[in-house]
Amino acid sequence: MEELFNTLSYTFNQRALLAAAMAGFLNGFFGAYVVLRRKALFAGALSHTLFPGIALAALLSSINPVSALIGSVATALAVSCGAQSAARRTRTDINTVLAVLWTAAFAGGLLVLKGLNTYINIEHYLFGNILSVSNLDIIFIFIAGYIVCSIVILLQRKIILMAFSSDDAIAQGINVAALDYLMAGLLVIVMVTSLQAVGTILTLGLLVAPAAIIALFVNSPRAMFWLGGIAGAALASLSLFISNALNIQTGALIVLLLGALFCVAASVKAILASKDTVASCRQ
Amino acid sequence: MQTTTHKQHLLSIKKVHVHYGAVCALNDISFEITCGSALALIGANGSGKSTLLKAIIGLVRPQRGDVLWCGEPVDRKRYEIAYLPQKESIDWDFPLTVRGLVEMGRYPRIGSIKHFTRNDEEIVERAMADMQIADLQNRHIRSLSGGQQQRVFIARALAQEPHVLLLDEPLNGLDQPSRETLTTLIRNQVSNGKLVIASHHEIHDAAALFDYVLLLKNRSIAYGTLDEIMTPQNLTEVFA
Repeated sequence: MEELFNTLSYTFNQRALLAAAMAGFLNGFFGAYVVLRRKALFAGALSHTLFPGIALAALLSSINPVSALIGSVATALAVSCGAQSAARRTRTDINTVLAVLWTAAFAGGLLVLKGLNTYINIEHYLFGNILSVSNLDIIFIFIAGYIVCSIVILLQRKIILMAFSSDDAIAQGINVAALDYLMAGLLVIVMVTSLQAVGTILTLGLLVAPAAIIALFVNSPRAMFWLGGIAGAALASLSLFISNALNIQTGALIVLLLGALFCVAASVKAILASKDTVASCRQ
Repeated sequence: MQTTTHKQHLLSIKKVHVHYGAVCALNDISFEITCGSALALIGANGSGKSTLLKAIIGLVRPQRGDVLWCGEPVDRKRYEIAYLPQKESIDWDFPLTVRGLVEMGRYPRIGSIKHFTRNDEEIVERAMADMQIADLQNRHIRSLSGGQQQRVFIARALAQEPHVLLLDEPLNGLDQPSRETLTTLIRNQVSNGKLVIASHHEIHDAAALFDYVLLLKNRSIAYGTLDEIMTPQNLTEVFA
């Protein structure tokens, strides 16, 4: 145990712990919206458009959090707007178009990054490399987290109402289309913050799993945001310690632990639900 | 059509037209009604009942015509009108307790930032008491019966402190005791000065709940008290 904490004497490990905790909290916190609004598949498609965004950033300048964010927003917007437009004009299901476009964009990004002469470790962007996190990354995650959390807290009632029922939200005077676009924009920012920790492929797990676990046990949307954040931060930090001790990839371990915890939580929930059913039948 | 005690609260529907693409859902609908009364929108499936409710609350934008509340567009005082969607459109798996749902009714009044005050708590508790669901407040919304679910949504509407309640098929799918309970509770709200407008399938039991009836077949067939509009010609035209 002492050896584990000794690893914190290294600056890069301190930075990694800070990044894991902050990105874990932010993803778990924002993931409550994704789960409540049933946007997990949309978020999954969007997460894969981060990779071609990074390729775009590498093509036009160099890769850093800001250029990665700009590139990711550009490709995410292009794919989501293109999918909506194609779906509307051709009567093809939006999920079908989205699936075709994000895989095409992903493939394009792969070819661009492979074709560039500069040295870029593609695996780092696909699966994350939290130990290489820089001070600039930390500052970016903090500022992005502060902005995203502030907006979500400020608009929480509207967000919850919209997630429950778009019709209810419109009936109460909320501009649902504008709020949806705002949340999609924040979603891209949140996913960029987890790039270093888990990469573009695994970011969906860190985003959705904490809130999905909490949703099994609470009947309060507000609690889902905060408990999701705490669960995300705790699991990401714990994974860092374990992965250091076992010398395995942190990003993969974070998502694996979250997946395992979800399976355990779902099993416990199913057992509790069946006991409740039996008890109510006996009454 | 206006009552004397609530005549300052007038809902005016003026020449409203709603089209879904090439399909005409509402054609030239006009009527006026004041608080303290209950209006049934009666017609066959696809006759425009739900569309008219949605046009009043702003979920559907009429291509022509106006919906005025106290002489102004509804958008200006939308919080004074509460809308209950059809049960089928509700996500019953949403992580929400009965109390949490009723508290949502306060959102239009208190906005995004303000905290719930003691007054807000009291209004929520009174709404639950009025709808006889106070003992269910910690239950998940899925665990309720159909009648209880309807009462929870009406309690949410009451927590909004509206003048107008728009109900989409409120008695649909309920057993007879639940229908009678809900009918009594809704009539109490009318006695308290609310305007209730509800879409309704069956004309034979409309008298127990409604003062006025609008017969719809994508246009207004007849409007008045049940006695006034119950003619063989009207009924044939609406349901044939």
